[in-house]
Amino acid sequence: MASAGSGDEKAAAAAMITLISSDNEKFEVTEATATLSQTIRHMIEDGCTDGGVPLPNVTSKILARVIEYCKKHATAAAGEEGSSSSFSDAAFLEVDRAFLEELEEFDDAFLEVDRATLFDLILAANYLDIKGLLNLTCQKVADSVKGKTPEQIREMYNIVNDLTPEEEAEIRRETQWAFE
Amino acid sequence: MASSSSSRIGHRRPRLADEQEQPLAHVPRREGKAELEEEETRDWAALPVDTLLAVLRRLDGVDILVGAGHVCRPWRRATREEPELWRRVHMHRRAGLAYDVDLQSAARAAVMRSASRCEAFLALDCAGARPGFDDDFFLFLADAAPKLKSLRLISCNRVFPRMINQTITKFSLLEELELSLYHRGSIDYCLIGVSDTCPLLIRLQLNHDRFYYRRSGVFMGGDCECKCMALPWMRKLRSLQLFANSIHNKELAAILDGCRQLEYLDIRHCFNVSMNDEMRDRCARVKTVRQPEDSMEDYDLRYDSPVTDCIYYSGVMYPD
Repeated sequence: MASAGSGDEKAAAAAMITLISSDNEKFEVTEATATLSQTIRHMIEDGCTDGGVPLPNVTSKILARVIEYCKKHATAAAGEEGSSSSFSDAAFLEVDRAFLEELEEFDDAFLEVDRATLFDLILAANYLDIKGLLNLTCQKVADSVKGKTPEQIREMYNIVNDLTPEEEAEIRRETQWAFE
Repeated sequence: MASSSSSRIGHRRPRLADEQEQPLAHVPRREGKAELEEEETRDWAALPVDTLLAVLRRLDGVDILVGAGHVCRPWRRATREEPELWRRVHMHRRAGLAYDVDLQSAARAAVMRSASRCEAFLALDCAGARPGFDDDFFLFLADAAPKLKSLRLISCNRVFPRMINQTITKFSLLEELELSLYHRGSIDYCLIGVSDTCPLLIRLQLNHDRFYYRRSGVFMGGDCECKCMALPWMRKLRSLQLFANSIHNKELAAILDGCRQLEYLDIRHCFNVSMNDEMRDRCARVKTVRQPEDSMEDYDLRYDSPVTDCIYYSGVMYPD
């Protein structure tokens, strides 16, 4: 598991950051990957990453997934910046489009998780301040509740209806314009 | 053959998942079976408010008002006590909902929750079985959404010109205005007051659903065309869209002379305009010009092909 960063030795020259999950697992990642998280970026800027960055709110299982996401998207960002001039514009656009499609496919596949994992990913993205991941996961939840009744949503997300009878009555009054 | 295709229909989702298992080997599936079966649960009612709002912001007003807003107490609280959530209110009929709504009442509820902070309102009235947006609603909107920067009414033909004429002046912060697929009466009349009271307006969309060739001097019922005779208030416009408008070169020239800051001009289907050398010269200053004959590919509203006089006289149609 701790080998998360060992695959890309080409980045040996790049600074490596160690992230430590709540269950004390260590993940070594490049700075480019880590700084997709604004929270970690600030820590790096403040120079407090020596000896690893403890992330007490994120389990190793979720952190592994988050890193998987960041790696992919960091590569994407690097690709945009390091555009070589040997390509013609058209060829470059073509490569770009293919890469964007691949990224989209990655995101779709990435979201194929159970609801508990989705929940943990949202919290992690929020805590680590990773905008793209937060967008992605929140959109997934939003899409799943679009056009659904409260009962359907409760069922989907295992939410207990704790509304009082008074509140229920108020809701009925407020939404007389909706018809099931 | 037959059995395989029928089973695919019968078990569409699981089949697809099976088929794709190999090529999508990198798709992270939980390794242990135990983890799968455990089916851990999380307390979605306890989602931190800022993340819950991040989800809710991605929903339509109607979705929140009828669905997500009534799931449990914390979710209800978030949708009621967060006016920011209602800064943008878009109301349009969608297919595939588990419920039907009276859009006008839904819009009222949504705007009320914005606690006067609504900045963008869009109504796309598809004139279904339920009553659509009318004069009363427009009056309500003017009072309840004084900070509106964007007002877009599409196909809201139960709002009368007189009401728009009298009320539009209340939206003094407007930067964007759309009155499209409107055929209740003169748009020029509707917008007279804008001149003095909406100094910030930079984007205007007045689109018709189709272009009508008219013989000059022939009166064809209500004058619902916008002549846009370069009214003073248009001077600051940066973006102007007049789809299928009946303006001629003379009026367009006046617009171009008056609106010196125009960056975007869309006159697609304005077939009375002839893009001759003189007009081309005038348009050269504008960064983007969509000409009468240009492609309709990126056009969002519904539209029809142009109608000529002969077709009209054979009694086919004219918008009421």
